[in-house]
Amino acid sequence: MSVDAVRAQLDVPSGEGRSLAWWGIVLTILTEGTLFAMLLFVYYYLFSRAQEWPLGDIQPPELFTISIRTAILFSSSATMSIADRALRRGRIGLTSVFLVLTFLLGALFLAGHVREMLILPEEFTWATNAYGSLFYVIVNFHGAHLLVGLIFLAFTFVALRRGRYSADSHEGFKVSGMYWHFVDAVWVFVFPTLYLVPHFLAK
Amino acid sequence: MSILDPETDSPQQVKRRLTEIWSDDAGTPGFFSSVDHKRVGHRYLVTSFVFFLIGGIQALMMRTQLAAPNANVLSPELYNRMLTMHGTTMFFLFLGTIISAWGNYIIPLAIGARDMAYPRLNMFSYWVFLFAGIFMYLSFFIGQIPDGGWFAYVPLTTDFSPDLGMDFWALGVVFLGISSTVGAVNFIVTTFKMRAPGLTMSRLPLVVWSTLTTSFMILFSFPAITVAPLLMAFDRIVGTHFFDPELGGDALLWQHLFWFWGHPIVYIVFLPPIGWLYMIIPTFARQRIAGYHWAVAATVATGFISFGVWVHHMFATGLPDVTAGFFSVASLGVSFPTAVAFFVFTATVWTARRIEWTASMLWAVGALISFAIGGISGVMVAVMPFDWQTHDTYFVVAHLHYVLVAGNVLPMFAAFHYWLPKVTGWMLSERLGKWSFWVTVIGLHLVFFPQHWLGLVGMPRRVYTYAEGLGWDTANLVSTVGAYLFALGVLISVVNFFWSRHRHVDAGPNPWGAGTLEWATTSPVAPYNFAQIPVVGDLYPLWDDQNRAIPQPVGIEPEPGGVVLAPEEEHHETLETVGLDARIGSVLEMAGPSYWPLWLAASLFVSFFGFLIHNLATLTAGVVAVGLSLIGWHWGHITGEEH
Amino acid sequence: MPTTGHPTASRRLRLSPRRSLVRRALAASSALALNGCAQTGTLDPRGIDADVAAGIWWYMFWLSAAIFVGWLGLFVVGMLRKHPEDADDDRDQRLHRRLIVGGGIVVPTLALGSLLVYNLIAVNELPRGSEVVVDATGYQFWWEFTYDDSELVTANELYIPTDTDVRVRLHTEDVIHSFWVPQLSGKRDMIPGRVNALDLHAREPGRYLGECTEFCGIQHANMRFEVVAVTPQEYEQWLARMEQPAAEPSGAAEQRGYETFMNASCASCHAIGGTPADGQVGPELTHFASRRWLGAGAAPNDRGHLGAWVANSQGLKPGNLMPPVEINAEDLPDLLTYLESLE
Ligand code: HEA
Ligand code: HEA
Ligand code: HEC
Ligand code: CUA
Ligand SMILES: [Cu+2]
Repeated sequence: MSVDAVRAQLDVPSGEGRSLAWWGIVLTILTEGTLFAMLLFVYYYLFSRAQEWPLGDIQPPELFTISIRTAILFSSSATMSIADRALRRGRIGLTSVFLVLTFLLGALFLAGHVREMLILPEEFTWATNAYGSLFYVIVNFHGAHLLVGLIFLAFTFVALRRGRYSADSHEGFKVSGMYWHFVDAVWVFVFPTLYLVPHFLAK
Repeated sequence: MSILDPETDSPQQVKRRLTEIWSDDAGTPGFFSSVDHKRVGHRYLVTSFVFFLIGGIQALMMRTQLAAPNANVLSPELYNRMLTMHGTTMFFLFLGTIISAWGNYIIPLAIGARDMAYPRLNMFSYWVFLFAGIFMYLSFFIGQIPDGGWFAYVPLTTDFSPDLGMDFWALGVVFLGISSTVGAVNFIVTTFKMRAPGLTMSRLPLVVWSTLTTSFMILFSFPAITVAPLLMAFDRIVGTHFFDPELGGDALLWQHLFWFWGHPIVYIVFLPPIGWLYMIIPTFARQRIAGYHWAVAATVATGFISFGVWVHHMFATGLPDVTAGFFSVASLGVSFPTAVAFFVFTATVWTARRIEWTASMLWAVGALISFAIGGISGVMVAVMPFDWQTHDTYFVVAHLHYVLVAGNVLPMFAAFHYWLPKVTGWMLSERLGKWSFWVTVIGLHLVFFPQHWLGLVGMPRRVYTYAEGLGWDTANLVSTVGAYLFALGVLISVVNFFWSRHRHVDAGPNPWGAGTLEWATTSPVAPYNFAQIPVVGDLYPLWDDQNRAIPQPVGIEPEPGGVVLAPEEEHHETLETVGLDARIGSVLEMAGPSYWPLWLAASLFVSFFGFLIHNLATLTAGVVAVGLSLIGWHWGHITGEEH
Repeated sequence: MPTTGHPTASRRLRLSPRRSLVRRALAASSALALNGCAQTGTLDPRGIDADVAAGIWWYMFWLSAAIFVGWLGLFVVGMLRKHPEDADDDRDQRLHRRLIVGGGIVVPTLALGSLLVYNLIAVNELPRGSEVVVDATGYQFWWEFTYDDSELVTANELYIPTDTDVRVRLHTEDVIHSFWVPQLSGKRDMIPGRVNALDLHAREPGRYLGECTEFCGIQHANMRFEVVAVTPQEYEQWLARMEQPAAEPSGAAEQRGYETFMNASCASCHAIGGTPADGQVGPELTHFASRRWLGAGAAPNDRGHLGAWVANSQGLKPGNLMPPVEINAEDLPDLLTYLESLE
């Protein structure tokens, strides 16, 4: 390629290809996803070796509240998508509304998590047996990711209000959305493992 | 200006402007806030090599104890601690980081970029490495040094290890994993986004291919070495039961998790060094690498297969024969890509006009020949009935040192001789380099060849002493003598460094007449790397069709019409390219110097330390500081007031 | 713990010219002077599993040597040879492809394929019966053996009949250990929460060194045992003798030693059959005097070492789990005399 050709190409509009932020988040999701896969592997590994499940006198988890919380979490993914679409049409106001809604839904889920962590120890703790250890570690690991996601959303909100994003430049917004969807997607695997397996695959 | 316009600017002005933009602040502030990939690489090199020396000294202590039967140089307790720290230091703090060292220094240069994709993250990964190393070595100051062996099998390392030693180990390993992971993300994005225009994937230097492969392997394997020690730390510190069979846990779970990382890591630390050899040998053979596509395929295939063989470390655990047999066959399979790599080298030298026997070339050839021995003993232990005999004996110690020393340490010295002139601007002494080579390599074989035999006649590994009359004495003595010889060889190289620095023979931009882009700039490298972003049309852009180096590469003197990207503001600008064929995307503004990477790493240190000493207040303070550092780091981005 | 495989070991080996040649080559290449000393390992098999491993080893050794030398030759010649001046790119590339495909694909396929086949055939020949079953339990840092059909418990010495399929079931009381008798068979781990099994089949009588090969703590180095292979008749006699309770103390000295043992804390950790001592923490001592080694191979079992052991075992085997016990200096000789009477 001659230098002139380079110069000609320099006029090519930017935006072709993915941004650095997009690459960063995709790779983060890959490795974090593997981390969760590892944890779930630990769960199924110990599950498959166990004679009984749940172990000891522990009762399978209660399903009602967690189902509602799951619905809440998944709807927050929907609101996030709506916010993203609104931003792409340049409707900053609508974007803000749905972003806040996403945040609130996430926070509600997390509040439910905190409540669970406060009452569950009456029944069993992480020190009760390996089942307890698995339950607490995995569920809190997801909780911690959710907290990070919420902080992420809060920053995105500030940036949005400061006018950092617009219809033409919404890559940063999209990236925080991707992280949020990731945290929700992880729940698609964590929820059946921690809450449904002890019921439906009980030994 | 973005394009050099001869009407208005001179090349001199461009270079002056670029220097202003890309130089770090002077003095201490510049030192702590720099994010220059060359400085990152430099620091990695020094720190990593220091850990190599420390690990080597621990090896010498062990070898001294083992020189004669029933010796009393080290107490059994101290021996086990030195054994553990030798393996841990070498694997985690040296091997895993020396590849980042050369990666950081060389890769941006080899692809014609001005920095890594995320410069701040890059410096962060260094600070984390440094702090994690310090963290593990703090154990020496309180005398509670890890003692569970480098693979830390439970329950010896949980219920049966009361002092803080294994807490240092487990948390240190998790901490260090952060560094490798962010480093890997950085290498991948750098490779995909920062290549110079025209540097298509099939013109990508092989060292970049191997680092790219390695980085993906890190992304998928390091989660295991995060989860496993974390669960170990939980079992030890907060009382969970992941590895406790009495309460539903399992001891083999640890081994699966550990080796799921532990096998890929051995290729992670050996593919980049093979990549260095892929650069070095063609240069001194004056011959383009033979079968480039084979080499790429072999590299990538090794990466894939390496995830399917971890059980070969567990053949003696009594897994079902069918499971174990599968992994045995897969382990044999992993020798195919390595064999291909070996014959790529063979084919390359076979058609070489003439070999230049520089010190670097000697180290490289010595590495290949020695590695073959280690690789072949690897194939032997992959055969199950034979491994039942040799597992956990000195035969495995011999295998692992042959592959690691020949697959990483010798190539490292080859790389020193090859690239240090680029880093420092002066040449290392060839004569001392050759002396160092011969002494080290003879030492290497003296230490480790007899160990095959020791393993075959039944000497287990990890024993602090052995009884008289077993016939093991002579071989052990030879091995110890070899270790001192090896150390002498290393020492000669250390002396070489200081003496050559004093002597200061100017290197010039391309002392070896090499063909790849890192030689298209000054030595030492200017702060901006390339005065003009190069445009690449070949795997060896600096070679003519006779494989001779072209005299005046464009990275040094910008030409009229060249892309120089030297704006009025203090912006770090570079070109971003798109697609496998590296089309020009846009001008990219990169992050400049910052203290936040340092603060974030320091905050992590405080958090891990709080966890270690079971102090909730310290832990909380650390976590809050982590949060604040993250906010500070991104604040400019959030408010739009970056720069 | 030098254990000669068999008194005739070295003589026998010299009868086999191929082996000794190989061994000499190996020894020479590794700059080792084999001082005609006792062989202990894989290279001197005395059990059928070890025979198979040794066979595989020699097969691989020659195969590897051929491959290594072959590759090295090509590589070195390639570097030293003079390349024809009229370099021809097409010809070079054909050569490259031939080398890479030949050396990287074809040769490994043949070599590894043949290895796999050899391996499968060899392993298939192994019988897998279990005429005698023994339970072996690893402790930090010693071994306990329970003989299945007699409930006999011994420590640190395992008797097996020759020409018999012996199955050893492997347990551990604490950390992971690994059970290995190089001359008889490969090794197998003893893992908490699991029971593994290993088959031994000794071809000929002898004393064979056994070792712990999984790092198990401070005294992993001194966690050895002996496998004593005897003829099936001798084995039966041995069992009958071992099932007897310990010898009654005879004579005043032994009697005083007996009392010291029972009154000091010894009895709370050690068991002696037929006496009130029934501790479960340390090795049983019912027939202690018949063992050749002390402290799982830490020292020979003679009066001098035994005295040092009882006075302070930490001196002989630092970090082992038997604490120093206060014994009056004048009581010690009698205690030793008693222990030595436990044939
Ligand atoms: C750089 C690191 C590195 C590399 C590259 C390798 C390469 C290989 N390793 Fe090794 N390995 C280790 C590092 C490494 N290993 C370490 C550190 C341990 C011990 C961990 C511990 O327990 O502490 C270990 C242990 C280990 C074991 C477990 C042993 C035991 O504990 O009982 C096994 C078993 O299968 C094994 C197999 C192999 C194989 C098949 C290869 C193959 O990839 C080798 C391929 C290479 C060649 C074959 C040579 C070159 C090729 C030719 C010359 C062409 C022709 C060749 C043929 C046709 C065969 N390794
Ligand atoms: C890169 C990896 C690496 C490297 C380079 C080495 C290098 C060496 N190793 Fe080690 N080793 C391991 C990785 C490595 N090792 C691992 C992973 C284990 C397993 C641990 C476990 O089982 O848990 C192991 C275990 C191991 C054992 C087995 C111990 C046992 O099982 O009981 C032995 C014994 O001989 C040994 C010896 C040596 C020797 C003699 C060297 C020599 O090459 C070292 C040579 C010496 C030096 C490099 C120092 C030189 C410098 C100076 C003295 C100069 C000082 C100068 C200044 C300060 C200016 N190593
Ligand atoms: C707290 C427990 C404990 C007490 C008390 C104790 N021992 Fe021990 N003993 C052990 C253990 C554990 C071992 C195995 C040590 C090893 O080999 O690692 C052992 C080993 C021995 C052995 C070697 C056995 C062999 O087969 O190698 C002898 C002999 C012995 N003890 C004698 C005594 C005598 C005599 C006393 C009292 C003076 C005593 N022990 C008190 C725990 C104890
Ligand atoms: Cu028991 Cu090592
Ligand atoms: Cu491996």
